[in-house]
Amino acid sequence: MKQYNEEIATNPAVEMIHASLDRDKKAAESWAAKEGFPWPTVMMDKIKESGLEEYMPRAVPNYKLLSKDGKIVAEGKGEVFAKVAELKKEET
Amino acid sequence: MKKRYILAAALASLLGLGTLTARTWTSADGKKTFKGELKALDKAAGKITVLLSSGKTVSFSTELLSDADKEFIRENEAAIENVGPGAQAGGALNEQKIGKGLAKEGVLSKLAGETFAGYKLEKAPEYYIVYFSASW
Repeated sequence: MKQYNEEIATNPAVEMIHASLDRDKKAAESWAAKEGFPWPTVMMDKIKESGLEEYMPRAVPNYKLLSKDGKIVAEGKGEVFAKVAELKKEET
Repeated sequence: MKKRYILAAALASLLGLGTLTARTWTSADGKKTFKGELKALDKAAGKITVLLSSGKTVSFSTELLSDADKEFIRENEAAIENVGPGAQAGGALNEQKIGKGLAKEGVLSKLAGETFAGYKLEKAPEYYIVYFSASW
Protein backbone atom coordinates (compact mmCIF):
# COMPACT_ATOMS: atom_id res chain seq x y z
CA MET A 1 0.00 0.00 0.00
CA LYS A 2 2.81 2.39 0.99
CA GLN A 3 4.71 1.42 -2.14
CA TYR A 4 1.62 2.19 -4.25
CA ASN A 5 1.05 5.58 -2.66
CA GLU A 6 4.69 6.62 -2.93
CA GLU A 7 5.74 5.11 -6.25
CA ILE A 8 2.66 4.52 -8.39
CA ALA A 9 -0.11 6.97 -7.47
CA THR A 10 2.20 9.92 -8.10
CA ASN A 11 3.80 8.46 -11.25
CA PRO A 12 1.98 9.57 -14.44
CA ALA A 13 3.68 6.80 -16.45
CA VAL A 14 2.36 3.88 -14.39
CA GLU A 15 -1.01 2.81 -13.01
CA MET A 16 -1.80 -0.22 -10.88
CA ILE A 17 -4.96 -2.19 -11.56
CA HIS A 18 -6.29 -4.83 -9.21
CA ALA A 19 -7.92 -7.70 -11.08
CA SER A 20 -10.12 -9.40 -8.51
CA LEU A 21 -10.71 -13.11 -9.04
CA ASP A 22 -13.41 -13.18 -6.38
CA ARG A 23 -16.71 -14.33 -7.85
CA ASP A 24 -18.49 -12.99 -4.77
CA LYS A 25 -18.53 -9.18 -5.07
CA LYS A 26 -19.36 -8.74 -1.38
CA ALA A 27 -16.31 -10.77 -0.37
CA ALA A 28 -14.10 -8.70 -2.67
CA GLU A 29 -15.60 -5.49 -1.33
CA SER A 30 -15.19 -6.49 2.33
CA TRP A 31 -11.57 -7.46 1.75
CA ALA A 32 -10.82 -4.23 -0.13
CA ALA A 33 -12.50 -2.14 2.59
CA LYS A 34 -10.66 -3.99 5.38
CA GLU A 35 -7.29 -3.46 3.69
CA GLY A 36 -8.14 0.02 2.35
CA PHE A 37 -7.21 -0.73 -1.27
CA PRO A 38 -6.37 2.59 -2.93
CA TRP A 39 -6.14 1.30 -6.52
CA PRO A 40 -8.78 0.81 -9.22
CA THR A 41 -10.27 -2.67 -9.44
CA VAL A 42 -11.64 -4.84 -12.23
CA MET A 43 -14.14 -7.31 -10.81
CA MET A 44 -14.19 -10.92 -12.00
CA ASP A 45 -17.30 -10.42 -14.14
CA LYS A 46 -15.63 -7.54 -16.01
CA ILE A 47 -12.26 -9.17 -16.70
CA LYS A 48 -13.21 -10.43 -20.15
CA GLU A 49 -14.64 -7.03 -21.14
CA SER A 50 -11.53 -5.28 -19.80
CA GLY A 51 -9.24 -7.27 -22.10
CA LEU A 52 -7.22 -8.61 -19.15
CA GLU A 53 -8.47 -12.16 -19.63
CA GLU A 54 -5.52 -13.08 -21.84
CA TYR A 55 -3.14 -12.26 -18.97
CA MET A 56 -4.88 -14.42 -16.37
CA PRO A 57 -2.34 -16.28 -14.21
CA ARG A 58 -2.43 -19.92 -13.13
CA ALA A 59 -2.18 -18.94 -9.47
CA VAL A 60 -2.67 -15.83 -7.34
CA PRO A 61 -1.34 -13.47 -6.20
CA ASN A 62 0.32 -12.57 -9.45
CA TYR A 63 1.81 -9.29 -10.65
CA LYS A 64 2.39 -8.39 -14.29
CA LEU A 65 3.79 -5.21 -15.76
CA LEU A 66 2.14 -4.56 -19.11
CA SER A 67 3.03 -1.90 -21.65
CA LYS A 68 0.12 0.17 -22.94
CA ASP A 69 0.27 -1.96 -26.11
CA GLY A 70 -0.25 -5.14 -24.12
CA LYS A 71 3.27 -6.59 -23.98
CA ILE A 72 4.31 -8.32 -20.75
CA VAL A 73 7.35 -6.36 -19.60
CA ALA A 74 7.88 -8.11 -16.24
CA GLU A 75 6.18 -10.68 -14.05
CA GLY A 76 6.31 -11.34 -10.30
CA LYS A 77 6.16 -8.69 -7.60
CA GLY A 78 9.92 -8.25 -7.23
CA GLU A 79 10.59 -8.02 -10.96
CA VAL A 80 7.64 -5.73 -11.61
CA PHE A 81 8.54 -3.14 -8.98
CA ALA A 82 12.25 -3.33 -9.89
CA LYS A 83 11.34 -2.60 -13.51
CA VAL A 84 9.10 0.31 -12.47
CA ALA A 85 11.99 1.77 -10.44
CA GLU A 86 14.28 1.29 -13.43
CA LEU A 87 11.83 3.06 -15.74
CA LYS A 88 11.57 5.94 -13.29
CA LYS A 89 15.38 6.29 -13.25
CA GLU A 90 15.46 6.35 -17.06
CA GLU A 91 12.95 9.21 -17.04
CA THR A 92 15.02 11.39 -14.69
CA MET B 1 -12.19 39.88 -33.03
CA LYS B 2 -11.91 36.15 -33.66
CA LYS B 3 -9.40 35.78 -30.80
CA ARG B 4 -11.75 37.61 -28.45
CA TYR B 5 -14.62 35.30 -29.41
CA ILE B 6 -12.52 32.17 -28.80
CA LEU B 7 -11.37 33.49 -25.42
CA ALA B 8 -14.94 34.29 -24.37
CA ALA B 9 -16.13 30.85 -25.45
CA ALA B 10 -13.34 29.14 -23.50
CA LEU B 11 -14.10 31.20 -20.40
CA ALA B 12 -17.80 30.44 -20.63
CA SER B 13 -17.02 26.77 -20.98
CA LEU B 14 -14.78 26.82 -17.88
CA LEU B 15 -17.38 28.70 -15.85
CA GLY B 16 -19.98 26.23 -16.99
CA LEU B 17 -17.96 23.29 -15.70
CA GLY B 18 -17.61 24.84 -12.26
CA THR B 19 -21.30 25.54 -11.79
CA LEU B 20 -22.33 22.19 -13.16
CA THR B 21 -20.41 19.96 -10.74
CA ALA B 22 -20.33 22.07 -7.53
CA ARG B 23 -23.75 22.05 -5.89
CA THR B 24 -25.70 22.08 -2.65
CA TRP B 25 -27.27 18.64 -2.38
CA THR B 26 -30.41 17.85 -0.42
CA SER B 27 -31.40 14.56 1.21
CA ALA B 28 -34.53 12.71 0.01
CA ASP B 29 -36.49 13.82 3.10
CA GLY B 30 -35.36 17.44 2.61
CA LYS B 31 -33.93 17.66 6.14
CA LYS B 32 -30.21 17.69 5.33
CA THR B 33 -28.12 19.64 2.85
CA PHE B 34 -24.43 19.55 2.06
CA LYS B 35 -22.10 21.18 -0.44
CA GLY B 36 -19.99 19.05 -2.71
CA GLU B 37 -18.48 18.67 -6.12
CA LEU B 38 -19.72 15.83 -8.27
CA LYS B 39 -16.74 13.71 -9.25
CA ALA B 40 -18.29 10.65 -10.89
CA LEU B 41 -21.53 8.97 -11.84
CA ASP B 42 -21.98 5.20 -11.87
CA LYS B 43 -25.16 4.73 -13.86
CA ALA B 44 -25.14 0.93 -13.55
CA ALA B 45 -25.00 1.02 -9.73
CA GLY B 46 -27.11 4.17 -9.39
CA LYS B 47 -24.39 5.87 -7.35
CA ILE B 48 -22.59 9.19 -7.43
CA THR B 49 -19.25 10.16 -5.92
CA VAL B 50 -19.02 13.62 -4.38
CA LEU B 51 -16.02 15.56 -3.07
CA LEU B 52 -17.24 17.32 0.07
CA SER B 53 -16.02 20.77 1.06
CA SER B 54 -14.17 19.04 3.96
CA GLY B 55 -11.98 17.30 1.36
CA LYS B 56 -13.51 13.87 1.99
CA THR B 57 -14.86 11.86 -0.95
CA VAL B 58 -18.10 9.96 -0.44
CA SER B 59 -20.08 7.64 -2.68
CA PHE B 60 -23.78 6.92 -2.21
CA SER B 61 -26.97 5.89 -3.94
CA THR B 62 -28.80 8.60 -5.85
CA GLU B 63 -31.96 7.29 -4.09
CA LEU B 64 -30.81 9.14 -0.96
CA LEU B 65 -31.10 12.45 -2.79
CA SER B 66 -34.01 14.82 -3.30
CA ASP B 67 -36.13 14.69 -6.46
CA ALA B 68 -34.55 17.97 -7.60
CA ASP B 69 -31.05 16.47 -7.31
CA LYS B 70 -32.11 13.30 -9.14
CA GLU B 71 -33.63 15.45 -11.86
CA PHE B 72 -30.41 17.48 -12.05
CA ILE B 73 -28.38 14.29 -12.50
CA ARG B 74 -30.75 13.01 -15.21
CA GLU B 75 -30.73 16.30 -17.10
CA ASN B 76 -26.95 16.63 -16.98
CA GLU B 77 -25.98 12.99 -17.33
CA ALA B 78 -23.96 13.44 -20.53
CA ALA B 79 -22.21 16.56 -19.29
CA ILE B 80 -21.38 14.92 -15.95
CA GLU B 81 -19.67 12.05 -17.73
CA ASN B 82 -17.73 14.55 -19.80
CA VAL B 83 -16.41 16.46 -16.78
CA GLY B 84 -15.72 13.40 -14.60
CA PRO B 85 -12.19 12.49 -13.53
CA GLY B 86 -11.63 10.19 -16.48
CA ALA B 87 -12.71 12.66 -19.13
CA GLN B 88 -9.29 14.08 -19.95
CA ALA B 89 -7.53 10.72 -20.06
CA GLY B 90 -10.35 9.05 -22.01
CA GLY B 91 -9.15 9.95 -25.50
CA ALA B 92 -5.57 8.81 -24.91
CA LEU B 93 -6.73 5.58 -23.22
CA ASN B 94 -8.77 4.64 -26.27
CA GLU B 95 -5.57 4.68 -28.34
CA GLN B 96 -4.04 1.95 -26.14
CA LYS B 97 -4.64 -1.80 -26.20
CA ILE B 98 -4.79 -1.96 -22.39
CA GLY B 99 -6.33 1.46 -21.75
CA LYS B 100 -9.13 0.88 -24.23
CA GLY B 101 -10.56 -2.05 -22.28
CA LEU B 102 -10.16 -0.33 -18.93
CA ALA B 103 -11.87 2.84 -20.18
CA LYS B 104 -15.09 1.00 -21.03
CA GLU B 105 -18.16 2.04 -19.04
CA GLY B 106 -18.53 0.06 -15.82
CA VAL B 107 -15.27 -1.92 -16.10
CA LEU B 108 -13.32 -0.18 -13.33
CA SER B 109 -14.44 0.45 -9.80
CA LYS B 110 -12.71 1.90 -6.77
CA LEU B 111 -13.31 1.80 -3.07
CA ALA B 112 -15.36 4.78 -1.89
CA GLY B 113 -15.92 4.32 1.83
CA GLU B 114 -17.01 0.72 2.43
CA THR B 115 -18.24 -0.07 -1.08
CA PHE B 116 -17.02 -0.01 -4.67
CA ALA B 117 -18.13 2.81 -6.95
CA GLY B 118 -17.64 3.27 -10.67
CA TYR B 119 -14.27 4.75 -11.56
CA LYS B 120 -12.52 6.16 -14.59
CA LEU B 121 -8.76 6.40 -14.95
CA GLU B 122 -7.40 9.89 -14.45
CA LYS B 123 -4.23 9.25 -16.43
CA ALA B 124 -3.24 7.38 -19.58
CA PRO B 125 -0.01 5.71 -18.46
CA GLU B 126 2.67 3.98 -20.52
CA TYR B 127 2.64 0.94 -18.22
CA TYR B 128 0.12 -0.96 -16.11
CA ILE B 129 0.87 -3.11 -13.10
CA VAL B 130 -1.89 -5.70 -13.05
CA TYR B 131 -2.28 -7.34 -9.66
CA PHE B 132 -4.34 -10.51 -9.88
CA SER B 133 -5.58 -11.64 -6.49
CA ALA B 134 -8.56 -12.82 -4.48
CA SER B 135 -9.76 -12.63 -0.89
CA TRP B 136 -9.53 -16.41 -0.44
